[in-house]
Amino acid sequence: MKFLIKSALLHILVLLLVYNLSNCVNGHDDSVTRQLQRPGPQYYPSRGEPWPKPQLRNLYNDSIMIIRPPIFRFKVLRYTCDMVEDALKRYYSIILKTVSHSAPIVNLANAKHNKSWKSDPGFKGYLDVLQVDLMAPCESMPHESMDEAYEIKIGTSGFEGTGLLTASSNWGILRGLETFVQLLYPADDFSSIQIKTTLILDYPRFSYRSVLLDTSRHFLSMKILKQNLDLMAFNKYNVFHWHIVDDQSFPYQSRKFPQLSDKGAYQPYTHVYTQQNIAEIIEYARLRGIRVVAEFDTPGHTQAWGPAIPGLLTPCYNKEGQPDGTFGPIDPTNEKNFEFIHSFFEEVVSVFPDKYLHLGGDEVYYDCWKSSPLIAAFMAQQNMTDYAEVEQYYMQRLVNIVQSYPKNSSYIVWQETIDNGVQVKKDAIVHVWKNVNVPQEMSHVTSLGYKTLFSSCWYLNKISYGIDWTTYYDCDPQNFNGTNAQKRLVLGGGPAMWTEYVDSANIIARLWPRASLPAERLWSDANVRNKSDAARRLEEHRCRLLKRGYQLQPPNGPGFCGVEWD
Amino acid sequence: MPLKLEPIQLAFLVCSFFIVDFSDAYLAPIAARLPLKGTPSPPGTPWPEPMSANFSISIATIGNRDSITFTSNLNNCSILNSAFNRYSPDLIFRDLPVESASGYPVFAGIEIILPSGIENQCGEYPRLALEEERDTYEKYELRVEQDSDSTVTAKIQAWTVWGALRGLETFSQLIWQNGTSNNFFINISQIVDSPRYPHRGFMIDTARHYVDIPVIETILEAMSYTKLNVLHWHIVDDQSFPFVSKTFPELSAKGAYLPELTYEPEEVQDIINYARDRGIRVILEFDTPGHTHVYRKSFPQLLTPCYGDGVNPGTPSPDKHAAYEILDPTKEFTYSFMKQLFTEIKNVTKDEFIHLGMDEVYYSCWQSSPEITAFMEQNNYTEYSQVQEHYTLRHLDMVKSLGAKPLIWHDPLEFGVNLDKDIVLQVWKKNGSDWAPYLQHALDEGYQVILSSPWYLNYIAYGETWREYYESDPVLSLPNITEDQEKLILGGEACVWAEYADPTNLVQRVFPYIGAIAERLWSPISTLDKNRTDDAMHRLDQHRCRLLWRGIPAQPIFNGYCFPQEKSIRRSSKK
Repeated sequence: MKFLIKSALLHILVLLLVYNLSNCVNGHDDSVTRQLQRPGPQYYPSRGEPWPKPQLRNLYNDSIMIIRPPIFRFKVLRYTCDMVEDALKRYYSIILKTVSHSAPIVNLANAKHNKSWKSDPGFKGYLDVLQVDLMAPCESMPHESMDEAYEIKIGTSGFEGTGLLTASSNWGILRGLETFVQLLYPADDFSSIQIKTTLILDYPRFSYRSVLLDTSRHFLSMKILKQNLDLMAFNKYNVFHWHIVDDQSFPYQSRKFPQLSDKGAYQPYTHVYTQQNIAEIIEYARLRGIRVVAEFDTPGHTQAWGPAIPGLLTPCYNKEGQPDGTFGPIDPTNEKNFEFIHSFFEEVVSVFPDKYLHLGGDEVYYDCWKSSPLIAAFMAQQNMTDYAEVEQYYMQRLVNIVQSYPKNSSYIVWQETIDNGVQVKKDAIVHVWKNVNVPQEMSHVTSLGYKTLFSSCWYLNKISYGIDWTTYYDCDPQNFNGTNAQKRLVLGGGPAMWTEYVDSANIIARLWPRASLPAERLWSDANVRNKSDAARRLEEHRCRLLKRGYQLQPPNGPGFCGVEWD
Repeated sequence: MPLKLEPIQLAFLVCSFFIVDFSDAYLAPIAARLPLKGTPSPPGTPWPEPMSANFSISIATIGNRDSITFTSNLNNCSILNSAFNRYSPDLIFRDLPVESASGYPVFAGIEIILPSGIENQCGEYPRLALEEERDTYEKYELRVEQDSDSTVTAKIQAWTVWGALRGLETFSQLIWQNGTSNNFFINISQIVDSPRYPHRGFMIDTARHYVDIPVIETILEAMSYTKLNVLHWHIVDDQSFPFVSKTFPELSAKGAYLPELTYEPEEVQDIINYARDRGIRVILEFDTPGHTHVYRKSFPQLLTPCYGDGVNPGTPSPDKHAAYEILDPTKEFTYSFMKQLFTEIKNVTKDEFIHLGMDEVYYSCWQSSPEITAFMEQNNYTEYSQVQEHYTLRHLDMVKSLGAKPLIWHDPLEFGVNLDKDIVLQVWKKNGSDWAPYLQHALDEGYQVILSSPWYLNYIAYGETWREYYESDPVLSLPNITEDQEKLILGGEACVWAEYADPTNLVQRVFPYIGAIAERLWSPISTLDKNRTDDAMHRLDQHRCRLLWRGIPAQPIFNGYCFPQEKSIRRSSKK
């Protein structure tokens, strides 16, 4: 019943000879082998190692610097802007949290008198200033080709006694600040906050790194959406894929068609996102360098649209040939529906500033269309023989509408659209989600020349017992047969949290830190695959974010963080 | 006998609630082609389902926030008084104003009627009901009656204070809000209720991950809302020893994850009292002779030195055993140490039962040990199970001599250890999904049992896992069970081993799924008609919304929402 895993016990032998186990409790040893000690904490956390792992990190001779939080300052060189200033404040308060949550641990008063680090041969002085050098004026909105590269130097050769964060865009500064605070860790005797002298050169492997939240199966509060954006920033995600409406409910409050949420939301006053709410989320995300890509999924997954827009959904027929009162996907035979679609999506592209809109297009079931004499007549008239052609017809009309708006907008569709043969424009993006024949599908879609997103193995709503993160970690978006040009078409992708069994009560703990694994796969070099190294860094990362006040569940089995979530 | 409402009557009832909309707990189908099954329950439907209930369509209005007044013929009873404080306007109405609806009789308070001569219970702790008192120990009758044209009162008749607590909980669940208005109602109703089993528990494991005290209190609160009555506290294990022993302070000083992550005896006492106020027993488990690896940090001599290299004591063997494992049954020190430790435990616990563990004793270390071999020769033992038996029987006798009743996992029985018949066995093993043979075996051997096999909530899976918990019945799953054997089943426990659970996800993981188990253990066997699982989904959903309403972050069981809104707040620390 308690999973004393025998195979693990063998490791204890080696360790017993090397360590006095009773001294391991606080886990301040970097030795990789320590993690094998069981029972007890499954993995001892790493110290001051960033997640996701930077592209390049050099360490210098175990030398360290000490941060004195009351004295520490960021110093802006060259360009700055509100977004950067806001981030500096945010990250300074994160440094303070790292300190206060390490208490009684880091006792500053004691530290003043007991400067034990001074006797550390690696001690290279105090890091009282991090210079923040943004080399170009700020951009306002995060976008598909934003530059997220940055460089960090802490006490490196030629930079003794100082720290420098450099980036050629404000997005790089945001990512670099996150890395910088992750480099901090408490000293062995808890007397201080330390940082190793370091050179980091970092940039993302993929440009599109998204987390999908579904606010239709269950409504998610603004508080939860913001917490999730915080956690995304802590993991260097840069797209919030907002699957905002679906069959179950329509919480998007439309300017032009308020009846959609009046009749389609779970509750028209409490379970809606107002225009103001949405603007707030977009701004909150923007300040963290996160794009908001909204998904309005059609023609399937639209039951909640039906009550507000008579005639929108296909009426289904019973065996006697009469409408049975139920409805199927959007009815493509009704020309008025395309007027509505034109008008509605025109609003949507004006509300969500990102260039990309997710148009869905997944899981269109044909039973209802098959029952309908109107669809049959339409197919005869259009010379269609296959229901996939009906779907194709709808999607083609939809993408033509979205392409017709004056805004330079483009769109993302789920893989079915392409599987069914719809022609989408060349800067459209295809989102692969099915977890069958994944490499073949990736080969197929990229061979057609489409930019591609990948989510197949990252459906985090699917849960199972035990350590499941290794599966998410092993999975790679470029793991398919194809030319280099095909591989380059893969922009990234990310995890999905569909909310059939999840709402504000459990979503954060269920999603995090499991979503940190795709985050590293999408950011770090493809060769970063060592799972025992990842386990230690993940343990540190989870505890680090717990200390910041977020509800992350334990990823690795028995253990502790020292500071528990409250 | 009052009639139980059949679905068709419920439907009639639903239609009869003229002004009610059912948006307090709402489920949505997974897709249009898969409509929801089952019949939604009217608001104010209690969970778990009472033994018998008759709800009239007549309703009374709650006059204002202060209308829920309590009186009792048992005065100055601290347990009752503390319950009256808990079932406060804040619990029932949250921060909403309450407005009387015109044209209805007004609810005028609740009266608890208890037999005279039970005053002493007010200072006692709940216990496992004796066989002859099981029909009355937690029984209550609740009548919401019209006294005159203008007033309605509720009367709870109970035979013990614990029964009164169960009745109060049911009463609190009968009150419902009319949609978005500030009108609250209660139906005229008669309920006669008593649990199917006297032991309805939940096991927490505070060794794999520490659970802070406010979270344990939240769990106890939510347990009382679900009519569970035993907290089985698996307090220490291989990984850590958070219990602070006054006799052997080194155990936690060296064995706790951190000095802050401990439970002082006074804190354990507070939790026991917190549980008692809610009619919940706390059974402490100190697991031996396995699951004791943590003792190596403070008292290494307690553990058997293994000979992994075949020559030297204290050497591990890959894939087989650690350097030191399992209490050393050959040394008197082991027994005298345990006697001192359990003497202290007996003083800390208020329950007559102590859980002694006894699970998962692996022999490979013993097999490597020449000391064990010598011990076996000296005692004429040929099997390692006899070594286990040696320890088990001495330990059980010692604990009994302290005046405690032992409860153990059923492993020794499975290993052929001869146990006294007064030992209560907790059955946890499964073979695949098949657990019935283990339960049947324990019953065939004549032991009283507590069932946990189908109810390990730490084994999470995608989807509606509560259905399997709900449909696992200790009696119906055993085709050959006899009537006498049925009486040996004391109840069951849901368990969460904490490898992957800690305060960030524990409460959400347990509630409301454990409700499925609570109903299995409380409600009559007739509720287990598989066609009714779909109906139960709607009632369980309503219960989850009620838990949210009361500040328990219970997770959703299906698409949908609670009205007015999801309240996933966590109670603030009481420290």
